[in-house]
Amino acid sequence: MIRAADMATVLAGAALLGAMMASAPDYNSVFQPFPAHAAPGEAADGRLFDARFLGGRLARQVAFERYGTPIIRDSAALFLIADFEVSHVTASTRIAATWRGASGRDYAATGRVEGAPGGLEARWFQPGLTDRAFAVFELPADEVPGGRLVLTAPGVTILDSALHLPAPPLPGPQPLARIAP
Amino acid sequence: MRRIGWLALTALFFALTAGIGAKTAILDLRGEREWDLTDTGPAGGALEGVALRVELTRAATAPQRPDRALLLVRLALDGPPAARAAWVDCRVTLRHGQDRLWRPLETANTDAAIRTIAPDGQNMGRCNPQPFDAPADAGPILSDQVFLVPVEALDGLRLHVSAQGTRPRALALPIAAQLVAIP
Repeated sequence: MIRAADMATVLAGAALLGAMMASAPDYNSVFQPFPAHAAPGEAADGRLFDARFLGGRLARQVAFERYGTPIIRDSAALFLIADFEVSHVTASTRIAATWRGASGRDYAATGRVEGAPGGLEARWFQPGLTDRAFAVFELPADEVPGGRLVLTAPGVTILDSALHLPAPPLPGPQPLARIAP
Repeated sequence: MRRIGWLALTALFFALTAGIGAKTAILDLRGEREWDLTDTGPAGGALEGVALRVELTRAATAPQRPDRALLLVRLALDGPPAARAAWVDCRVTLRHGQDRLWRPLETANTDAAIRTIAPDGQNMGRCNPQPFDAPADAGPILSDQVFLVPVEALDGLRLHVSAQGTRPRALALPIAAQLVAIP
């Protein structure tokens, strides 16, 4: 009788442990950046920098010059050129941009406009200086309304801040948008 | 009494596990942060057997952006090879108060910016205590770093120099720059 009770205790413990292991969130789910949300047009405050979504352009094609060579990129979806302002930087940093679409999917900034003048991949933001920058995304049209721009420091952002900037009202898509400094 | 012994053993193993896990984090933190600062005069000082000298500071503004300045800092490192090797690398930052930290520019235009501002038109390269082209005569190792800072912050800047092999120890010295205008 005592042995049966011991077995029941061990089995109950194993079942409890299994349930805890199965339901425990994984590392990537637990350790995420702290989101900082802002109202449309307002600045969000982060650990390293503040940012404000200034506006955006939608286009079927984008044109830019890379080291003097004119380049045009077209898309079956839409290009979104998101302009934003960065201020109150506390340490020199680069910035990574992601578009969180209306469906909840995350879109990385496109690499198809790499080398465009003023492109985000080559920009550094410095303390004491307020600067404007842009990020270019290629995404389905239905991901733009209700979506938001997410700005973080590049690399590992665990326990850092992620600025969530909702899109202001954007004009309709134009055939061609030019990217210039 | 026997139960207390088991509890003590459990607590000991728990503390050991936490300590072993924390050791890596503490060593990483020590290797990353500078909290043991040695304040020196503007000319420089010594850290872990390596002498640091500020050879040149020069700030330049452009008419298009008068609110910001490019600040060039030329450093000279000097010391025996073993001491320089123990540094491993070299980190140079600028501070203003407790809440602003500038890192050297590393963009496609950095080399041109340094050559434009330097009086001799040369770029001595990044701060590196053991470069492959170290002077054969065991002379000082020069380096150039350029920072983009607001003009209003030029007064009160402090230069911090440390290395992987010295942190959390670092040198801190005031920086005063001559401001010139780029045409």
